[in-house]
Amino acid sequence: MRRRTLILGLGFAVLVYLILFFYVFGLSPMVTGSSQAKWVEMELSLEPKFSDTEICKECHYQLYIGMKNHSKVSCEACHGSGVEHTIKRTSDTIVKDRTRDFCLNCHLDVGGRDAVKTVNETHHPGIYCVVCHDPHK
Amino acid sequence: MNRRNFLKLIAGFLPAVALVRGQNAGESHKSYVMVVDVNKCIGCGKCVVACKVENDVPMDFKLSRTWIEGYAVKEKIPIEESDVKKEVLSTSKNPFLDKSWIETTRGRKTFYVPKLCNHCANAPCVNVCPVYARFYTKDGVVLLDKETCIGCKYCIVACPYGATFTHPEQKVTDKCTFCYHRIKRGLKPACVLACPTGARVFGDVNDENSEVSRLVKENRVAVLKPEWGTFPRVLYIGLDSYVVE
Amino acid sequence: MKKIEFIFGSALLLLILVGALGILQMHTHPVMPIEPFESAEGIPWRLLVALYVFFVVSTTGFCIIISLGEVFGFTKLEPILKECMLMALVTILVGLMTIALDLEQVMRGYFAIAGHVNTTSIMFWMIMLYVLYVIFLIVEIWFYFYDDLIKQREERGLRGLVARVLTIPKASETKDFAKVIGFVTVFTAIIANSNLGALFGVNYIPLWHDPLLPVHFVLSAIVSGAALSVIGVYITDFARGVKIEGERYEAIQMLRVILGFSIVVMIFFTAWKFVTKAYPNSTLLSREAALPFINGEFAFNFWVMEVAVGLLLPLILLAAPQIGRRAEGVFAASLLTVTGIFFLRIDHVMGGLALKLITGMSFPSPVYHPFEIMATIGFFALTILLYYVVYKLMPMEVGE
Repeated sequence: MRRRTLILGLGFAVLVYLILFFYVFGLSPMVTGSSQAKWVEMELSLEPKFSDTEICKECHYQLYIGMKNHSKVSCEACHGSGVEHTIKRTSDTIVKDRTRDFCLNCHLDVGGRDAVKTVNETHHPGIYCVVCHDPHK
Repeated sequence: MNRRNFLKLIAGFLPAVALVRGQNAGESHKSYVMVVDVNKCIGCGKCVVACKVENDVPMDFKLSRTWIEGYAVKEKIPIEESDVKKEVLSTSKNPFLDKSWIETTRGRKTFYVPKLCNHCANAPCVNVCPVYARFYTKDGVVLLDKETCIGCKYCIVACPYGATFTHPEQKVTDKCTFCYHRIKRGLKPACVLACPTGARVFGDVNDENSEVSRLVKENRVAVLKPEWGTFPRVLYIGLDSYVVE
Repeated sequence: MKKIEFIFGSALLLLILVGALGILQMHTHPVMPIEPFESAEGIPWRLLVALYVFFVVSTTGFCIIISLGEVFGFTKLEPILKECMLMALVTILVGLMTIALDLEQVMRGYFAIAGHVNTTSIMFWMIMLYVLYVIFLIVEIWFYFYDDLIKQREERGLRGLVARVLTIPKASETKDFAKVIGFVTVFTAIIANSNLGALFGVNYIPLWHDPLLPVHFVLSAIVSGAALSVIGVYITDFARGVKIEGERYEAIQMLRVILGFSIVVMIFFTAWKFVTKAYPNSTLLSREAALPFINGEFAFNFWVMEVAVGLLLPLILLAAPQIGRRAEGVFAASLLTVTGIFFLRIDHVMGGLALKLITGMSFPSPVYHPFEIMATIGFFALTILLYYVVYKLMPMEVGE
């Protein structure tokens, strides 16, 4: 075949590959950099749904100061997300679960729970734990 | 120098190479790390619920950004597959309170391992995403750009820890972000806040006075699956590597 | 149009509609809330990805057969090159459509070409290389058909219009230019296909983490290319009502030799792949990765469909002189091979992920979601319909 055809063909192929590499390594880092920066801004603008024990203490200091065993547990671990409650300050915007099952979620005597005091099913079955044990003391 | 020393020299370069891309390993930047104490985890699942509330993952969805694996192990050497029983808590329903789990743990060594995205310094998910939707921030957190993600699910295939999943409503992939919007305001991540025993501790390991630095100095820490070269940022105290993959 | 063509075309359109419905349902209702499909909810790559791999490796195979005939001097293959070229084009287009519709965010599928680039991602390079491949393939087909298209300019109707749009009256050396571009195309195709093999080489999935996987992909490309070429040529001549004899018969016989040889190599590859993985002290989890195929939930897929139907039976059919010498025999063997290759893709994609014991969830057995099966049928019907349309529009008689 003629040399001209060979050069034309291979030249076309090399040209297409060069355009690809120029696009990948030259043009695109600008697009990725800007979209990532925009997303970081978006992440930082999200509103938290949990506040912190410091915020709860501002109104409920009496409840907090009396705690002995549960003092290391954050308020929202048991009472749920608190941001709505700090705005509305009503009783239905915070979780108050007094049932036996709620306490047994952490304190039931299954295997592997050396970090808490555990209790068996046979310990006063059916009765709410809060009848005898106040978690805020 | 003989071959072994040469290989050690090359291996020493790997973390540096991994950290250079997009990150600044200098002292002026933070390096966030989470230390998880397996001895303290009681498998209550409050971290899972808190994470789902904070980050808009449906409560009854089977998967979660963070989850707990409970292991009940019959102590025997050599250990066989039937000697290890595993159960997973990743929804609002806690399987560790079921009769079947209580029966299983009778007489076996039991412990609970909370797992989450490890924000690896050499993350496979960052390396394989075709549209560069996952990237490192300067403080070491791996973020996921949901506006760019096309949902090819290569990151789900590539993550050795199974930390990422497809969000059922948003139709993109989703993963733990160390609650980036909270930690930048000086708050703690939701799972750290919710843990009643203080098994999860979060902080900046570049800061010598932080709790995580103290824990790392005083304890023997391990990571999950170190053999894949991912250099994870979640460190475990009390991990039983014979059992936990 | 003849009546039978009309009926056939409508049947295909109906199947394509079924496929479109499947795709729509897949994107709006991801999981049917009944077992066993519910357990497959979190699994990332399922039947559609296996179908995509099937299509894309088929197009590489066609490209290799074309280059054997055009560039590397297997002159016996020349009579069937035009059909193979059209089939290569159709399969890559349908393959790219398959993977585009499998994305969670279909509307953002163009992002990789629109600037969002990650150079360390093998999947990104796969997208780019296949775009290049399509460009080169279209250029090659255009120049290969150029002389015959010039002759078609005088015809009336749609065929003449297509020919007038695609050509200028005076041109020369187009077949040589097509040969050069053919070489570039097969070069790109082999790089792209082995890149796809490397894409599956994810570190911690033991079935996939195999340095020979790219080579295995190119080898299975040769097998599926040869088999599908035989199927395509046979069905084309059957539809035209022409018996296969003469030059085209010689081409089929040459394909029979290529297919037989590559099946033998494939048998060795498959056997050693599983023996090295199932060996007692092989690396982390390798043994557990191979066991589902030996005697686990994938055993039927592997032993019956992939090995017996896909490799051993076609080899026997091709080697037996009474069967292999007839075009029908080679066609039957090719059908069996293609079925085996299809199940090879399913085993590879879904079997590899079967061990992914993350968050306590795994799907040990192959689960085919009904919507995915509908989509698969739709895509196959689309391939046949597209090939038929392109065949009718292009000049297919062997030029002087």
